[in-house]
Amino acid sequence: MTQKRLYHNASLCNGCGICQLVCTLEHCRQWNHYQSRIKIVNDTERNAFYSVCCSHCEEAPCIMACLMNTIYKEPGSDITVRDLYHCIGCRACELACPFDAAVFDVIQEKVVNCDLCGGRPLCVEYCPNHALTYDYPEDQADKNRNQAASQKFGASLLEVFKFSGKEV
Amino acid sequence: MRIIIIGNGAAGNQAAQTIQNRDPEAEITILGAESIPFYSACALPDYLAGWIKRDQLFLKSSLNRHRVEIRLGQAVEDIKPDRQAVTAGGELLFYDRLIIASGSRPVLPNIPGIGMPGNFVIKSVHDIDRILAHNPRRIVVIGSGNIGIEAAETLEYQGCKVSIIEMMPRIMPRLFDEFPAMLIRKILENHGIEIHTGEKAQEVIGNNRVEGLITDCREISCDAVIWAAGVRQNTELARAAGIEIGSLGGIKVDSQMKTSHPEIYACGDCVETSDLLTGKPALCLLWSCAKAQAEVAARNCLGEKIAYPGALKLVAEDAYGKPCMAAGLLEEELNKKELKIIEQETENTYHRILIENERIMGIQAVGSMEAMGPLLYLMKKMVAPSEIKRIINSPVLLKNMPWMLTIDKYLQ
Ligand SMILES: Cc1cc2nc3c(=O)[nH]c(=O)nc-3n(C[C@H](O)[C@H](O)[C@H](O)COP(=O)(O)OP(=O)(O)OC[C@H]3O[C@@H](n4cnc5c(N)ncnc54)[C@H](O)[C@@H]3O)c2cc1C
Ligand code: SF4
Ligand code: SF4
Repeated sequence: MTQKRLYHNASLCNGCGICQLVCTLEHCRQWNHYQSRIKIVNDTERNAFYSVCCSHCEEAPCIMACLMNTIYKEPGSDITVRDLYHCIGCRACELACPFDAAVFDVIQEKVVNCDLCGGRPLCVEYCPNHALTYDYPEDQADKNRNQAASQKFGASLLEVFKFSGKEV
Repeated sequence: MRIIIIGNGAAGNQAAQTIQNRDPEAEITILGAESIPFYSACALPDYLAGWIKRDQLFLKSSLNRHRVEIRLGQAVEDIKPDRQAVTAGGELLFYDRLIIASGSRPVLPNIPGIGMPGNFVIKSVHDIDRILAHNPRRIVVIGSGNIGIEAAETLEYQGCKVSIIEMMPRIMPRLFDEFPAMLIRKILENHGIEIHTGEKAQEVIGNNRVEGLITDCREISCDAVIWAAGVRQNTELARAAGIEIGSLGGIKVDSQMKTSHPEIYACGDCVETSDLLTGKPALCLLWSCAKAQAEVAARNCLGEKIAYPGALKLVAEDAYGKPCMAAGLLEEELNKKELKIIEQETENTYHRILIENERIMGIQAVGSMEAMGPLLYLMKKMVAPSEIKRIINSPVLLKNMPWMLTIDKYLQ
């Protein structure tokens, strides 16, 4: 079953970073940027902000890489979740993630990824610019735009980031 | 379909899981020589340090126990390919497909004193239990691969005085080039670990119990020696059954993980596959490789046609809170003429990227792993650095792949 996903509209984002703060407050009772499961990166050259966050890959490389077999797909959905009890913080999953979306939580000394707050993402609720939305992938005009972009510019590379084959 | 799996490790369990997911009707039997359930060897150093409890080593499994029989403490004694059967505990068990996932074991050199109490390896839970029961205070670790380094670090953390003996001129010689290896060495030495490179262990001395170690340069008094200098593939069973063994000593498999016998597959530490980057034969003693190979073997067993792309050497290490990683090939393994090395050093971090013929062939990082995940992925997919630059320079593409932005500074 396909779940709702997090979408970021770069044209509305002004890089305020509120999403990162609510994320860390919710998940680690801390008010900081660097442990956030959603990362806002700044393209200084074009003065634009983009988000980096777990895309809950279909054949998730992090699941394959985990040394403790502790990452799995939530039963009945396609969300990538972790049982942190067995996690040893080896960061193998962080290296395996092609999207830089697995985050090392320095307080727990474990690696975490976006869990969509169990279905009510706080970052979406608190984003003052409405740049973040939580929606079904099918409903996204974004998706079409991505496809158009890939045909025009870099089909080969976008192809690379779609998961067809198996990971090493 | 009746499938027998030899070995209850990462590869064996992943194979069983994949088969169960794809064909719930298949009858699977896992035969494991060890009498304890499935655990992760990678967490053994953490257990040794006391960072995790013993029960955290044992991994959850969602195998359906009605369909999957797991026989613990039952080593396979014999494979009879002509009868499609194996013997275990004197019993003959028949299979339609056999998956060998017998793993590897540490090797001990044949030197005087090696049989004395106080000589240890790190491979199974029992090895750690034995080390903890021995309660050593002064330790020599032989070998500075990732297992040796992890063992040294965890024992130092426990308050032991630790020395590392490495035969090669630098530590982690198969993972890092000289400069990053030196950086890691400094971190370890700053925490009180003594390191001697270019030295060979020659004799363990003591009176019925380890009391010291003699190398070709010195004598070190110690109450325990940990041997972490090399592993060997468990291929005896396969060899005796006439299955072909490769030039590096692993069970030879094709890209479908099939051995020289059509009904017999092999995966994990015991096999010899090919290197992802060079295509040459390679041994890959890694957890993630074991799982990926097991999945390929299992699916091919069930009649699919899936190819394993090849193994990539990849380790992540923690040197006293400083994350380090190495992937792919070393400088000395690459063609000097075509080689371009991009190095970046700050006060606390060091990154080294090896590019040969417009292909990323090696990545080494000390102190920070930022952006290394995506870069590693591009290396696996053999994307040229010029292509990466093109993405970063195109606003539309960059918007779809914002993580590329962080990679940029490491490719300057
Ligand atoms: C201390 C340590 C740290 C490690 N750290 C890392 C790390 O950080 N990252 C990483 O990627 N990898 C790491 N590894 C390597 C990783 O653990 C192995 O690559 C992985 O366990 C391989 O799995 P396997 O199933 O192929 O083999 P094994 O785990 O060796 O399992 C093989 C099983 O087969 C059984 N067996 C053998 N012969 C028979 C027989 N005749 N009959 C029945 N059963 C038999 C054995 O008892 C064993 O249980 C580490 C290993 C060790 C020891
Ligand atoms: S953490 Fe990374 S690899 Fe894992 S599901 Fe999320 S995006 Fe994919
Ligand atoms: S850091 Fe934790 S979740 Fe990630 S690979 Fe290691 S054990 Fe698995």
